[in-house]
Amino acid sequence: MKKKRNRAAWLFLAPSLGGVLIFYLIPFGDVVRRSFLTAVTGEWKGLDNYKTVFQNEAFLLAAKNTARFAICCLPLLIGAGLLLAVLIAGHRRLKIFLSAYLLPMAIPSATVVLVWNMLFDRWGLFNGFCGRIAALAGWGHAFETDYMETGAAFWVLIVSYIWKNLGYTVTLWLAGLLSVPEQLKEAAAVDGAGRGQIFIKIVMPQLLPNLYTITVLSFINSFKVFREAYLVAGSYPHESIYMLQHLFNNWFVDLSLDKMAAAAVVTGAVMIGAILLLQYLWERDEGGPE
Amino acid sequence: MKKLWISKRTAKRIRGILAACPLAILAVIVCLPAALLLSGSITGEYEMHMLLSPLFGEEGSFVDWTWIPVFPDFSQFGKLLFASPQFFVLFWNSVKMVGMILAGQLFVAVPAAWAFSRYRFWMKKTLFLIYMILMLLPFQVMMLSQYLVLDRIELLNTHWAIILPAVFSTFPVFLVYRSFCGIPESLLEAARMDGAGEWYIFFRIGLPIGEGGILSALVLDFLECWNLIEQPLAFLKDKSLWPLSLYLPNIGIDQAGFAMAASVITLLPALCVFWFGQDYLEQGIAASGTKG
Amino acid sequence: MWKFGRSAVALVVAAAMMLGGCSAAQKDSGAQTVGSDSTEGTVQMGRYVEDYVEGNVEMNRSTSLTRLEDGRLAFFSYNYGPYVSTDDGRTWEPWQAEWFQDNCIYRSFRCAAIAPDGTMFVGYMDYSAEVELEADADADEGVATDAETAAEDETATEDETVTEDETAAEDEAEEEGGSLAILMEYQLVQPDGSFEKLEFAGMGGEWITDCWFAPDNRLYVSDTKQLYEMSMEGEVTKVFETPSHVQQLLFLTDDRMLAATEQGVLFYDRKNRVQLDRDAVLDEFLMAQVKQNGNMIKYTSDAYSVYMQAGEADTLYLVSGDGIYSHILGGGTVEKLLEGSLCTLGDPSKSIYGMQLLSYNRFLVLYGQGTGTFAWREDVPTLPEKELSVYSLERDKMVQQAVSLFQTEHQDVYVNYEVGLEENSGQTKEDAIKALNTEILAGHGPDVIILDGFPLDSWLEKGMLSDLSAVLARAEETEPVLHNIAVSLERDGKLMAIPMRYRFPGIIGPAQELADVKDLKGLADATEALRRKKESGSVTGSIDAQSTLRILETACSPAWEAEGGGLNRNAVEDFLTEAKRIFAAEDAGTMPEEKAEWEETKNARYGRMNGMETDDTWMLMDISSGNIFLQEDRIGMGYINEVWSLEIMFSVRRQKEGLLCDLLMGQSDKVFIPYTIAGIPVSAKEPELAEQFVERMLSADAAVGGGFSINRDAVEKEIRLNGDGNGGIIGAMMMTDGNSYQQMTVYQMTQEEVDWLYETLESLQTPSLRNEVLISAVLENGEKFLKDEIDLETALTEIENRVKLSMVE
Repeated sequence: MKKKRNRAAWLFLAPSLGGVLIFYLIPFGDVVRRSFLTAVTGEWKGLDNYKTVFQNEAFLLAAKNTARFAICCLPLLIGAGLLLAVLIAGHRRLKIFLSAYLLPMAIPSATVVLVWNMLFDRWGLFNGFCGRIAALAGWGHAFETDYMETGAAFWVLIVSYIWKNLGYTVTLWLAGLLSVPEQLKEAAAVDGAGRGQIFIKIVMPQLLPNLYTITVLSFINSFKVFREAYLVAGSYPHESIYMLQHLFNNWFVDLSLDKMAAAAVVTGAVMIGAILLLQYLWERDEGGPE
Repeated sequence: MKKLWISKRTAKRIRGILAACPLAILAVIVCLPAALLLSGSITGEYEMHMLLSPLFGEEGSFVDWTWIPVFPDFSQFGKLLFASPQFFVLFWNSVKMVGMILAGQLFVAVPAAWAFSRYRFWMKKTLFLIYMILMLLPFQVMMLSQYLVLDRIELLNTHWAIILPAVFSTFPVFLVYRSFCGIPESLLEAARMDGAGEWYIFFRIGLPIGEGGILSALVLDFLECWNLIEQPLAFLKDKSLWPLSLYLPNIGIDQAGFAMAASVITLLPALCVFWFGQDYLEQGIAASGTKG
Repeated sequence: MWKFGRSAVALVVAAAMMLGGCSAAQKDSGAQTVGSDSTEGTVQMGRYVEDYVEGNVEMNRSTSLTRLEDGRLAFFSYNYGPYVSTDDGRTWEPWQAEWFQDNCIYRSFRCAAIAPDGTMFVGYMDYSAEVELEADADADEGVATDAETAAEDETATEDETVTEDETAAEDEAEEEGGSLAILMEYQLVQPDGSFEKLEFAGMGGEWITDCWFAPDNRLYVSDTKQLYEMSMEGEVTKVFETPSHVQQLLFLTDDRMLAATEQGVLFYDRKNRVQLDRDAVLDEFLMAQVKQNGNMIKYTSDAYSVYMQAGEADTLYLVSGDGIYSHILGGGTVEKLLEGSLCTLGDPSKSIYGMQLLSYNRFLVLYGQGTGTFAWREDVPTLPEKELSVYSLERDKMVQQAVSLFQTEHQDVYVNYEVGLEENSGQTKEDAIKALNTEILAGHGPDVIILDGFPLDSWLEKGMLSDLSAVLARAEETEPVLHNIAVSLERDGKLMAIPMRYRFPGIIGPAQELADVKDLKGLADATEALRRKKESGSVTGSIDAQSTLRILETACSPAWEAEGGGLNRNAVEDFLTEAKRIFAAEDAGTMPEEKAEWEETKNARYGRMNGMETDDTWMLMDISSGNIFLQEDRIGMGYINEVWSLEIMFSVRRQKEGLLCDLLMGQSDKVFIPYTIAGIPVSAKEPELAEQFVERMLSADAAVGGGFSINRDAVEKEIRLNGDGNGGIIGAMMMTDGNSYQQMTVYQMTQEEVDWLYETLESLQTPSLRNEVLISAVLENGEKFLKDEIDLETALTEIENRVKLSMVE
C-alpha cells in the first residue's frame, strides 16, 4: 500500500522535478562549478574565490545592507499587514479597502521608477507638498533633501516595498484571521478571557502557518526592489541601498563571474541556514513536511 | 466604575468608523501613485513639460501636480493604441507567454505540490528545502548558466526560453502546497478506504478543495510573469519577441506622458486579473491557514 | 450578484484586450523591420546585386530623378544643372545647358522639379545684388563646412559641403538684412528652353520648400503649412494642409498621392480630392528609420535618409542606409529586400538623392557621386556564407563606414553590424553589456567589439580580448598609423584594444598670461592674473561651477586614479583646490547678463535625469574660440575634435593679437580621449576576418567625421579638404555674442600649424578612460565645494565614499 502511494507521489512530482533539474539544478551546479574557477579562462582556483569574497568590502557591505533591509522591512510589513487585517476583520464592510491596497502590486517596475522620480526627487512632489505644510509650521527647510542621494534612500526603498506588498499581506492575514473558528473564540470568551487575551492566546497560534507563508513570500519580494533601485540610482547608488544584487550586477558586467559564483553559493548557504531555522521555529508543532 | 450604556451595535458601528478612518487615509495614500499615473497619461505634452521641468535642472521650484490637467489630452493613448503597431506585438507576446506559463504551471506545479503535501517519501524534506532555496535565488546568479543550458537545447531567442523555466519555477509549488496542507487527512483516508485510487483522490478531492489556493497562486504568478524584465533581456535577442514589460521607454522629459499612458495600459490586464481573482485570493489562502 | 458581475466584466475586458491585441498583432506581426529572410537551413539563393558606377559628370546635390516621356532619365543638380541619360542612368549628359548657364550665376537653387514632358520648375535665391559676400565667392569653389549647419546634419560628407556654406551665406545675408525672409524666385522652364518667372502667392509670405510634377504633368508645391497645386500660369490652389513641410511627394498609378512629412505619411486621392487614411505600419517604419538617421527624412543637404518609390499595384519601395525595403500599402509588414551593408546604401558617406524603378526588379539609386543599379540575381546567395559580426553599444558612424568598405571589398562576407542598446526601452547599458557577456561566454559572441562604454579595465585584465600587436604591425607596414595612440591601451605587454579615433583638450588665450602655464596650478595662477587685469566680464568662458569643473576635468581625470586602481586622493584634492581658485576668479567679475544667459542654456549642456542626453558641443573648441574672438582677455578651453576646430582656433589666433594655442595641460600630461576602441574577443568565430576588419579600420579612408583619425593620411586628407595647406582663406563666419556681430575669416592652416598638429598628435600619451562613477562623484561634490556649500574635507570624503564601492568590488 505504502509503496503504491509512494510511487504515485513520485509520479506527481516527476514533471516538476524533471524541469527543475534541467532549468534550475543544473544551472546552479554550473554556478557552483564556476565558483572554483577563474572567470573567463576557466582555470582551477580552489577556494581562492571564496577567500576573496569574504574579504571583499563591497560584498560585506552589500550583504550587510541586504540583511539590514530584510530585517527592517519584514517585521514592518508583516506587522502593518496584521494590524490592518485586524482592523478590517472586525467589520466586514471595510473589505473594500483591500482592493485599493492591492493596486500597487500590479504596477510595473519602470512605472514605479517614474513615479519615484517624480515624488522623491529633491524637487519632487513629496518635498513640495510636505514642505509647504511644514513651512506653515515654520519648518520649511526640513524637506529639502534629495532622498536618493542620502541615507534616506534606504527608507525610500522600505516605503516602496511596503507600499507594493501591503495588499496581499493584508489579504493573507485576513484570510487567516477569518478562518479561525468562531467557536474557539466564543468558548474562550465564555471562560472569561478578555479580547486581548483571546487574540494572543487563541488567534495568534492559529495564525502561525500564515506567518510562515507570509514571511517567505515577503522575503522573496524583498529582492525585487533591486530593479527599481537600480533604475533610479544606478549601479553605484548611495551606500545604504547598495545590496547584493547590485554587486552581482556589477560583477557580471565586469566579467568577475568567479566572484559572483562564489558569492552566490555563500548566499545560498546562508539562506538554507535561515530557512532551516524558520522551519525549526515554526513547524515543530505542526505536521509540516515530514 | 460607571459604564456608559450604548447599545452593542452602536458601539460596533463607532468602532467601525474609527477603524475606517486610518484605513481610508492609507488607501488614498497607497493609490496616489496610480492616480498620478492616470492623470499624467491624459496630460498634454506641453503641460507635462512645464510640470516636470523642475526635475530636469531648473532649480528653485518644485514639481507641481495638477490632478486634473488643465487641458485633458488623450492623444498619448491614441498614439499608443493606434500609431504604435509595435505595442500590440509586444502586448501579444506578453499575453502569449504569460498564458502558456500559467497553463504549464497548472500541469506541473500543482501535482508537485500535492505530492509534497500529502505524501511521505524518501528525501522529501531535502527536496522541499532545495525547492525553497531555488525560489529565493536572484536571477542574476543563474543567468549565465541558464543561458548555457537553454543554448544547448537551442531554445534561445524563442519564447520558450522564457516560458519553460517559468513553468518549472518552484514558487507556485510552494504557494499551492500551503493550501493543500489544509485538507484534512481523514477525508483522504476515507476515500482510500472506499477504494479510490491516488489519481482519483487528487482529481476529485484535492483539486476542488484546493481550487481557491490554486487560483490565488495563479494570480500572484500572473503578476510575476507579466512584469518579467530580466529574463527577456537576457534570453531574447530579437526585439520583436520582447514582452510588454520591456516596452516602457526610458524616461526623458518628452516621453513622460507617453510612458504614463503605456504604463496605464500595461496595468490594465493585471488589474483585471486582480478584480477577477480577488475573491479567490482571499478564499484560497483561507484554506492554507486552516488547521482542520 | 455583484460578485458575478465583477468577474464577468473583468473577463470581458480581458478578452477584449486579448482579441484586440491578437487581431492587431496578426495584422502587424513583424511590423518592425523583419530582418532578411532566415539564414537557417540550406543556403538561400537570390539577392539584389548593385552595380555602382561613378558619375561621369559632376552631380552632387540632386533632386527630381524622373523618367521622361521619351524614355530618358533626368535629374536636376542644384549645383550643376539638369542632366539626362539615355542608358538608364549609367552615363549622363547636360540638359538644358543654355538655360542653366544663363541662370546659374549667383543663384542658389532651392527646389526643382522635372515633369515627364520635359517642363521644369525651379526655385532659387538670387545673390547677384549682394556684393559684400565676396568671401563666399571663394567659397563657391572651395568646400568649407559650417559648424552650425553641420551640427544639424548627421552626415557631413563631401557632397554636402558646398550647400552648407551657402546656407551659412544665406543666414548671414538674412542677418545682415535684419529680417528673416527668404526671397525666392521661381521659374517655369519649357522643354524648348524658354522660361518665364512666376510669383508664388502662398499663404502668409511663405516660400516654396519643394516642388514635384505628377505623372500627368501637374505641378505640386509645398510650403511649411500646405500642399498646393500650381497651374502653368502660377496660380495656386490649396490641396491640403500639412503639419510641416512635405519632404517627399510620391504619385501612385491610380491618382493617389503620398506626402511624407516629419509627422508621417499623408495619403490623398487626387481624383476625388479627399484625404485618405494613413498607414500606421508605414508611419512607424518611417519614424524608426528617421530617428536612426538624424531625425529628418530629407536633410538640409537635400539628401534623403529614406526615399520612397512606387511599384506595381500597391507596392511601395523604400531605400535608406539600412537597405531596400518593400511594403504593401495597408499591409502589415515592411519587408527587407536587401541589406544595406551589402551595397553602397550602407556607406554613410554616400548620400541618397533619389530612386527610380527601371523595370521589374531593377532599381536605380542616385547618389551624390554616382549611381547604383540594382538587379536581382538568382545565382548569388542571399547572404554571403561567411559572417563577420561587429558589435558596439551605440551606433558609431565610423564603424558603419568601415563595415560598408569592408563589405564591398569582400563580397563573400556578410558583415553584421549589431548595435547593443535599443533606444528608448527598459534596457540599460549594463543590461546590454550583460547580455553581450552572456553571449560571448556561451560562444556566440561577436568577432569585433567596439569597447566604447565598456568597463575597459576589467575587460583588459580578464583576458577576454586577443592580442592585436600582430594586426597593428601588419597595418603599420602599409599605413602611417600613429603609433603612440595605437599602443596607448597596452597592458602587460599585450595590446588588446586599439582606439580608432580620439580628441584632445586645448586652450587658447592671451599669450602673456598663458605662456608659462604647464599644469593646473599654473592655469589657476594665470586665471587670477587675467582677472586682475580685466575687472568685469567672463575670463574663462565657463561661467558656472559645473561647466568649469567639466572643462577642467577633461585634462585632469586620468590623474585621479592611482596605480593599481584606487583613488588618488591628493590629485583630487589638488583638482578641487585649483578649480576653486579658477572659479572664484571667474565668478568675481562675470556680469549678471552673462550669468543669466548661461543659466538659460544650462539644460542643453547637462540634463539631470537618466535618459536625458547631454550635449557636449558647448565644450568644443570651435565654440570656445569663437567666444575669444568676440572678447578680449579671455581663455577658451575645449575639445579639439577635428581639423575644422583647429582651423577656427588658429584663425582666431591669427586675427587677434597676442593669443597662444596649446594642449590643455591639467594634472595629466598630454591627455587625449580615445574612442571607437576596437578589440577582438578571444571567442571570435572568425578571427582572421576580424583581424582583417580591424586592419581595415586602421586605414585612411575609413575615417568619417568627428574625432581625429589614428591614421595620419586621413588627418592629412582632412587638412587638404579645405585647401592646400598654405594658410589661405576658406571662408567667413559670423560671430555673435547676442549683442553684436563680427565677421571672422576662417583660414586654412599654415605649414607651421600643420607641423604643430602632427607633432602634438604624435606626442599624445595619456588616454583618458573616463571612469564615470569617479568623474560624476567629483563633479557633483566639486560643484558644492566650489559654491561654498561644503568644505574640502567633506567633499573629499563624499567622493571617496562614492567611489569606494566601485574601487573595492
